This record gives sequence, structure tokens and C-alpha cells, in this order.
Amino acid sequence: MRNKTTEIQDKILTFIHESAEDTSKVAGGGHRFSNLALDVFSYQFQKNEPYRKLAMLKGKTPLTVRSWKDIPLMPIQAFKAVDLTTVGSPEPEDVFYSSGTTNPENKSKHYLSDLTVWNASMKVGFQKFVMGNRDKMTIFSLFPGEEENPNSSLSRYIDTAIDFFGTPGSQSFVQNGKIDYDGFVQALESAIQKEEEILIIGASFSYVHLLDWLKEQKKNWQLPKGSFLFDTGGFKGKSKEVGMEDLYAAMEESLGVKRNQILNMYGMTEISSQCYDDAIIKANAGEAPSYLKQTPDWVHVLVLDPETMKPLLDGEKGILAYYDLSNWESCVGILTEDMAIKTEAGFQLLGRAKGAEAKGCSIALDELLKVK
Amino acid sequence: MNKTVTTIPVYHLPSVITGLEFEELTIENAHGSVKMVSPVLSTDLISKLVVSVKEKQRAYLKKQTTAQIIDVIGEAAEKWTDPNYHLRQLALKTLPIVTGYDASMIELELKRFIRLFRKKNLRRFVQSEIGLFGNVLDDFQPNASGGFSKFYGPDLIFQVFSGNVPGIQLWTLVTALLVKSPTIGKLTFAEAIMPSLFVSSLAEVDQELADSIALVPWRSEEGKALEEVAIEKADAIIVYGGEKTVNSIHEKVGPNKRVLTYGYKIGFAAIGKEALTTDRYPKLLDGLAADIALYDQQSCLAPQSVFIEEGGAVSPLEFTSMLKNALANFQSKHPRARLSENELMSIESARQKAEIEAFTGAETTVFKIEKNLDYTVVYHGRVGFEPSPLNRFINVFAVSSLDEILNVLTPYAQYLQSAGLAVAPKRLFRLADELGAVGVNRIAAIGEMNHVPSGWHHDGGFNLLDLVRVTDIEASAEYASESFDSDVE
Repeated sequence: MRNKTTEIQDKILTFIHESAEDTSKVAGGGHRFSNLALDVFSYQFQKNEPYRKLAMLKGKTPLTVRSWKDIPLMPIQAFKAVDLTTVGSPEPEDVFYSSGTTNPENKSKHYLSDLTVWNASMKVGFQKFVMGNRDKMTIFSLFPGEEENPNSSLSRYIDTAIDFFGTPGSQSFVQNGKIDYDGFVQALESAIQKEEEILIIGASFSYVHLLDWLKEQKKNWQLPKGSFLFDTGGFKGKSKEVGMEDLYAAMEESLGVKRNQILNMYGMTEISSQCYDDAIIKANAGEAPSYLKQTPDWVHVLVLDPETMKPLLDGEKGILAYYDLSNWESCVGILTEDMAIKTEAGFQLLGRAKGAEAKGCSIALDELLKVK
Repeated sequence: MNKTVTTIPVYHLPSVITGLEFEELTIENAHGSVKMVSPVLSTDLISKLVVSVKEKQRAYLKKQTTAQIIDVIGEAAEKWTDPNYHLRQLALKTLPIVTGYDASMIELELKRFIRLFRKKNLRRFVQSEIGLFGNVLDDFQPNASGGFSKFYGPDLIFQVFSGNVPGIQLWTLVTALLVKSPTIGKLTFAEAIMPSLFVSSLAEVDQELADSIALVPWRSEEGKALEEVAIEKADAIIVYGGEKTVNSIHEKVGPNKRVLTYGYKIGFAAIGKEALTTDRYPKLLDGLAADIALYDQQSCLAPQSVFIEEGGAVSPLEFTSMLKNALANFQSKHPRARLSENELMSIESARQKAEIEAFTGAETTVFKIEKNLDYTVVYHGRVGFEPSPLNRFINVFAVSSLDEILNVLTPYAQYLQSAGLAVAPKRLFRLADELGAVGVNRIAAIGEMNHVPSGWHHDGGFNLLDLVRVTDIEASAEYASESFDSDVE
């Protein structure tokens, strides 16, 4: 059993590392991705009982699924309802819980018995889409690290970024649930003085708090050339609602960056990889970014018609389906609740799908959940 | 695809109001194209409409007897029973385009619905609620305490309509006329056609009576100022719609005006084992499918959950599996409307929830059409209650006895409305009483859940009585007045 586990991990690790060396090595018309995705699905079909049951419900088995596009999709809601794991009774190295974005008592759980693949996926993606040719940067985080916020995949992500890619002064400035503004200002101003390239990492709501504080203090900065702001999350019932473009405009003004110095990352508790827009990659190449999300080679996405759940053509709006090889311990295919449009240059996120309201006197499910 | 554009007025103005500017809204889809025309609104115009309909009420409507008013409405309704009537044809041409509902379903339902407003049915409606064939609205009538009483409707009713079911607005438009009150109506662009056309029919029969009604559409978010004027001038407000609409009106109205609300409601069906014999269940299947699918469950009369008792000739699971086929048949005859992205996502999400239950060991089975979201049946092997995302999505619960359902309904008491029951007479009254105690206010046969009779109690309230106030001439005044007769001995 252990062998099988090691074998599947090794295959994925090889894939990820080869991708790091040379994307064209693993691209190969998508066959390598598809074959490995089928291996992962087959492995999960054997070991992850709820996933097997879902697949059977859809009439799909490793024998009938011929392409990664046919792999059954686990609805992301299921991570709340059931333990989706291939390791049996979990004695995990880590469990990631979602922040319970819609219902605080109902959190998603993502078990990982071994973080090797997760780490590789994080590092290779981060190197390519965030660091580019750099080895180290000064990283300041406005989101708590793992010690402050255990079981958060984003906190683990940020700690990994700081440990692996950060210069010695890099750190998170969140303590006891609050941003340590004094510490942050001191570190930032010192880095600005030394003209270090700075990478500030935060969730969208962290920036809202920071900008509010800056406004109050009547402060603003001009970040050194080559600095970037890294944003993730959007708004899900936290802080006040602000449109992303408004937020970015405010960030540009208060922190003295241009729009193409702001990078957005798409990730979630239930998956083991991240997608980034092309802001930094294009900046390094001296080109204008599209801000469309780029998938690492071990991730493929489809956009599905909500009516038929069949893949849509490029340019049409639908639900994002996420196929992630690094999710080898739970489900390789995930059906998100995010609306998106896909093009050849990447995909664009259009926010969380909203529930419907009835047209008149009848009450629809989503409304009842709101009033009850 | 029909390329011709049909132009339709979606308003009704008293005939004295002229010289207005109009705007157009064109709806275009696979069914065709409709240009809806309505006046450009201002608070001034709303004030003018108020003055005009109130004046017509004083000068004309209040002088009509209830019987005369019934005659006019009845005659207008009779026009609609003629398939060649031009306004009926216009409605049937435009409603499918604007609402998205299947054309043949609208045709069938609309002609059934309009018959509720025949003279004989209106007389029954008035008689069942007020008695004396409504004479008490015309003159002082002897009352049981020895004096006389007369009923008065509000001086002005502001009606806020919804658009979920074509023609649903006619109920309260007619109610207002019967209590001799003028109406200012806010229509929704989602379905402004039927009320506008029906009042045009009234005008064809009696222009003066129709002049006591003004109907105009506006978007709630854009028309706050218009709404404020209408609320300020009205004595009573009738609101159809969701929690948000109803609450926002309540906040604005304050405590001193009468507000009747037709807000959120949930229906369900319950089928006893005695109805699940081999000769009876096929009819029930078709009836239940129609209850679920008519107007895509957007009417609050439609069921959102079904309870099926074990012990019949067919098991709850077998019945449920066949219900899927019955919905498929209905879909082939009357396809579901095209849905918005949010509606589709809502169904998709409810399906996912059911599927997660199914593979995590709960006794849940999902029966659905695989290729799209046309209809979904979710079978639960235990008692429970689940509201539906609507649009032909039904939850079925197997129960060992229908007595089990009371407990699961209780938390939803404030939302309960219609129950479709299929049980033997012995159980009907006992079960009806228990359901009534929980909050259910309407018990119908399976297959008839979307069809109310005239004289029904909408959401368990009165239609006419809830609107009127009463003036009594007490016996003492009557006797005393005798002493003031100059000719008294």
C-alpha cells in the first residue's frame, strides 16, 4: 500500500519538477497530464470511498474514463460534509480547514498525510509566477502565519513562501488577529530606504484594513522599483464589500505601485495548487499583462455550462471545473462554485455563483436559508 | 424564429390623463420579440393619477351597486373565454416571450383562471365572504345586534404586484373593485401584461369603472420616490412579493395604514398509502407532476416537498422513480422556462447537495434528467422537509405514517400555505385539522394545487373583509331617531 502511495507521489513530483525545468517537457499535447490524471483518479477511486461512490453514481470508473475531461468532479461543498481522503483513518501531517466563508460552523476539511507534493506544487508555481528570475525577495505578509493561524492552507502557503523565498527580514505582521502596523511600518520604511524589492502578501480584506489605516494616518508610500503586491481571496462575507478594481486603484495610490505591480492568486483550501495572473511574468518580459489566470502545468481547468454541465467554448461564462494532479490525496477533479470565462490566454474569474430569488410569492431555497 | 415585434401597452391610465411621454422596453428571445410601452413616470404623474382615480371613485364607483360591479367584471371575463377575443390573443402571443413560460401551458392555465371571474363565481366569492350578495357594501343592512351596518372599502389602495404567475394580479384588482376602492398599481416588467389587458377589457365594458384604476410599471430600485407618493396617499396597501419587498413596504408605511401582504409561502403534498393502489397511483403521478411543473413552481401554491406513506401497493421509492418519468412527460409537453444563471446555479447546488448525501450514506437517491437541469427529483428514505430551488425541483420523503410530517413542518409554520392531500375521507378531516393547527391554510387535491376556487382564503386571510371598515347604526340611534320624526305620536 505504501508503495502505491509512494509511486503516485513520485510520478506527480517528477511531473512538477520537469515542468519547473521546462514546460514543453510535460506539455506534450496534454497526453502526459491526461495519463497521469487518469492514474491519480484510478488510485483515488480505489482508496477514497466517497469519491468512488460519487463516480459510481455518475456511472464512471477508471475503466470507462478515458480522458482527464471525463474524470468525475467532486462538488466543493462535499469537503464540508465528508472526509475526502485516500489515507483511511487520517493521522495527517496537516489538515487544512477553510475559514468557513459562508457558514462558520461548516468548514471544509482537506487532509494531507504527506506534504511533499503540496510543497513542490507551491514552490514551483511560486517560483515561476511570483519570483521569476529572482531567488529571494523581502516578503512582508499581512495575513497570519501558521503559528497564529494553524490549519489554514493560506497561512501555510505564506510561511512556505517566507521560509523558502524570503530574505532574512521577511515575516508576517499579524499578531493576535490584528495587523501590527507599527512593526509593519518600521520594516517597510527601512526596506524602502534600502531600496529593496518588496513583496507584500495579503488577502484582499487585509489590504482593505491596511488602506483604511493609511487613510486614517494620512500616510502613503512609494514602494521601490521591482516591488509587487500579492493579493488573494476577494471578499467572502469579510470586511466591507469593495469591488476589486476599486481596491486595486486604492492600493496603487496609497502604496505607490502601478496596476501591473499587483498580482492576484487563486487558491483554496480544497486544492493543492495555486493559479496566478500574468502580472509578474509579463512585467519581467516587458509585456502588458492580460491579468488572466495562468494554470501551472499540473492543473487543467474547464468552464462548464451550468445547465448541461458540459464544457463551454472559450469566451463563454460558466462554472469552473478544476483538475489538479497535486490533489492526489483527495480528489483530482473538483467542481468549484466560481463562475469563470476561459480563453487561450488564461481564465478570468467572475465571482461566486449567487443563489436565486423566487419571482413572487414562492420562496426559493436560498432565500429561506437567509431568513431562517 | 418570429422576427415580427409585437407592441403592447403595459399600463392602464384613466381616460382623462393625456399628453404623456412614453418609453419602450423590448424583450427579445427565441420565442419572439415584444415591445412593451409604458409612460415615463414622475412623482407629479403619480399624484395626478391619485387625484383622478379617487375622483372617479367618488363620482362613479361608489355609486355602483356591488351587483352592477359584478356584472361589469363578469362581462369582461366572459370576453376572455372567447378564443378569438383580441386581447386574449395579444396576451397569449406576448406572455410566453416575456415570462418564458411554455405557450401552451399559459393558454391552458389562463383560460381556466379567467373563468374564476365569471359572474356566477364572483357572486359566490362575495356571498361566501360577506353574505347578503354584497348588499352591505351598497347600503346599511340589518345586523345581528339589532342595528344596521354598512361596509366601506379604503379610499385608495396602492397595490404592489409581482410577476411570478400571469394574471395573479387580477385577484386583488377585482377585490378592490368589489369593495368600491380605487387602485394605484405598481406593475413589474416581469409580467405587466395581464393586469393591463384585463383593465382594458373592463374599459371596453364600462370606461368609468376602469377609470378608477391606474396601473403603471416601474423598477423598485428606481422608483423609491414614486412608491413614497403612492404609499403616502393610500389608505391601504396590498403587496405581493418576497421578504425584502414586503419588509421594505412595512417600514415605509408605518403603523397606521392597513397592509395586506402576500409574501413567502411554501406548499407540499402528502400521499397516504390508501391512495397508492395499482389503479389509483397513475393518476396521482400525473397530477403531482402537474402540481410541481405548472408555472415552474414559481407559484406559492405549488409543492416544494412531497411525503409518501409506506405500505401502499407501490413503495415510496417506486413512486418517486415514476414521478421522474411523469415530469419528463410534462417537460416534453410543456418545457420549463429558460432560467437565469443564478436560478441554474441554485438548482445545480441543490443537486450537488443531494448527491453528496447520496454518496455519504444517507438514504438519498437523486432522479434527474442527466443532460440538463429541466427537472430533478430527490428521494429521501426518511422523514424531513426541504424547500426547493424551484423550477421543477422536488424533494420526496418516505414516511411510515403521515402523522410523522407534523413535526418536520412546525419549524416552517410561518411559511406554510397549500397542502395537496391524497387520503381517504376518514383521515382527511383529522389530518386537515392537524395541518391547520401547524399553519397550513389550504388543502387541495393532488393535481389541483395550482388551481384555487373563487372564494378561497388567500394565505388564510379574508379577501374583502380584510379590506373593509364598518359603520354601525346602533339600535339606540335607530330607536331614538324615531322620536325625532316630526310626525311621531
